[in-house]
Amino acid sequence: MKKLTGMKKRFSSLENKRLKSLDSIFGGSPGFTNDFWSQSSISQWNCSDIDTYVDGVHVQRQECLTDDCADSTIITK
Amino acid sequence: MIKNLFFFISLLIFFSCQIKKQNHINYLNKVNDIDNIYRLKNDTLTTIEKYRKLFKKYPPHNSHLINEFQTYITLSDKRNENFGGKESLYKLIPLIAPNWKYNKYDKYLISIFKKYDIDSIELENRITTWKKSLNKKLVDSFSIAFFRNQEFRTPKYIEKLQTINDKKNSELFLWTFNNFGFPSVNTIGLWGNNDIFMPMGNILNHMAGLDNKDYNYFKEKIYEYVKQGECTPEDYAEMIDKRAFIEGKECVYCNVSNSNIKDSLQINKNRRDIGLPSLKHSRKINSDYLKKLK
Repeated sequence: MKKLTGMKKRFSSLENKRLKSLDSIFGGSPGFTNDFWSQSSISQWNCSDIDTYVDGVHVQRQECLTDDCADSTIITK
Repeated sequence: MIKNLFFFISLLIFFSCQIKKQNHINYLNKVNDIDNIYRLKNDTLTTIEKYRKLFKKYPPHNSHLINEFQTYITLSDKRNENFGGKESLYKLIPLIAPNWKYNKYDKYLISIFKKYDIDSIELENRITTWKKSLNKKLVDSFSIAFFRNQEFRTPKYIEKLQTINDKKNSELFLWTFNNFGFPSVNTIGLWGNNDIFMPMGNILNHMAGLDNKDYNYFKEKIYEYVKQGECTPEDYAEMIDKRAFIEGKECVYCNVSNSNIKDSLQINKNRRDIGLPSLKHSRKINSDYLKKLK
């Protein structure tokens, strides 16, 4: 999986970037990156939890520790 | 005599179909048990043998990140064990087809196909055939639904407009349930029109809102689809846990990496009831998968 290998190197940095900028969360153009990020939120919160998809595969679901994912510290495991 | 024989065969087919439908959660738990032997006990030979027996009884299936049928083939291939050769590889194609966009870069998997004289042209042709087998009407509808799912959610959340979108999606689900059943990856695929990404768990997550008046129906109906093997337990769990989260209750299946888990015994029981691996097993599955990405 050549593409996946290259992708993982960017995994952390992208995740950090994602937390600072909601623009990089899923919703971007397919083809732009191998990674797909999906934000799950409903009307009660601006952002209560995040689903992370990498190359079409769901790899992680996290609760945000504050109402705003952009500022919260998310445990990555 | 012929009449009786016909009746007997019909009865047999009917019951075997019923068993298949009712037993998908049992099947998933059997897969989890085998994966546990493979992943936590590192016993490859027993794993292959158990998978071989399992797939004699059940049709090929790939669970989330376990990918049991694919694992059975690759483990067998590495050990020069018989996995059914070309015939089994053909059965694997519809399972890897939904995410073919990325699965086609799995060099090891492609090399097994080549080893059995299935070249890239034949593979692509079979993937195209699989795509044609999808329900075009539902692919069109859900491509729009998944766009709506994110339209006013990211990057800027506009509550009023997104609530309308979620309501429309809820109505689409109800119409689909009534007319076609569950929109599984075998019905709509994973990548829709214009290559829109269609992750079911995520959209079901958004059906858990308090403003979805049909939530209880969703809960009941989708559970039936889990039992039938149409909806994955992960996708169902996402909706149920989201609702619990909204209501300030503790998670039921706790498929969240940073969940606050108090009663893991009860949660593991809940998880087994819908065919999810135990919490510890799931963490291992996830960490193994993330290691592979390195």
